[in-house]
Amino acid sequence: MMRSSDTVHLRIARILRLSAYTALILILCSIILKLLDISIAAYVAATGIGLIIASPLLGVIAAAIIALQIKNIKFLFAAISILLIFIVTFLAGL
Amino acid sequence: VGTSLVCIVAVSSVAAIDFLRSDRVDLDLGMTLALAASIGAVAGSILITYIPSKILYLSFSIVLFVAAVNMTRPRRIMLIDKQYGAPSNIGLGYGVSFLSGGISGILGVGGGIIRVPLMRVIMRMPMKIATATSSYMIGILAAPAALLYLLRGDIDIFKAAPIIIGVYGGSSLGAAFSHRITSLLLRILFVAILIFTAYRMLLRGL
Repeated sequence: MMRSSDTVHLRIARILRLSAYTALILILCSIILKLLDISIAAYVAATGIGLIIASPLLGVIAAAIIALQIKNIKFLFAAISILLIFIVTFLAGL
Repeated sequence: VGTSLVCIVAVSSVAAIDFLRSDRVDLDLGMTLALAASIGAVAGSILITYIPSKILYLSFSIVLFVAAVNMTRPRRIMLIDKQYGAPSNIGLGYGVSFLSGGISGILGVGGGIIRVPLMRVIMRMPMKIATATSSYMIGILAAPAALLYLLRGDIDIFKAAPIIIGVYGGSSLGAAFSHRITSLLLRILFVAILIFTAYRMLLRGL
């Protein structure tokens, strides 16, 4: 268990917060752009939604990097496996 | 469905910020259980053609009723909360997480409704840690499907945008409020949801 290393939780929380609030700002901007009838509104909204979807993935990537730093092989294996499953599920769905 | 999946990921991500900061997520366990559940979901999608869904609904409603009854035993629960240092029965937990991934894929029910009782009853995790870890896992599990819907253009972006903003607000409030809610109240709410889901599954199975 990684309970002793609280910073792992905090670092992942920081990454999630950064991506979550960036996505929120992008979505709010897209609504304003849509109201102003500016054509890039759809792209901005799609980027925001894409960022929301990518948030858990960013969390897993961060966890993998941290696991590599602290040399927790089990945790690293789980993170890499989840990333692989993510990629396989995505490619299979395509 | 696509919008709903994006909302699920958003709820999980926003709630996870607060849960991670308050050290309520068992990251190590959450990641490995998510791995088992992902493999289970893939297996479930392959097996879906071979197993009659009525049998699954009936058997699973019984499992949920039993889990609900188990979660209402106060003496045992007090012991779990007092003694928690690390989860118990990890091997069995992985096995059931694998099954939960498969079953949630086949029956179309949320994984949390299966995983939280599993963590609580089998792995003897406190309610708050079980719900937070499960919430963190849900985002990881729902993200690939959400991405597919987005890339296929099956999400109406401007209909989803206001919903997502509302979800952000609600999820932040919920995560903040969860610090004040007692484990007992959380458990009562969860048992009520379990019984409701079990009842609905029973109706579908009959």
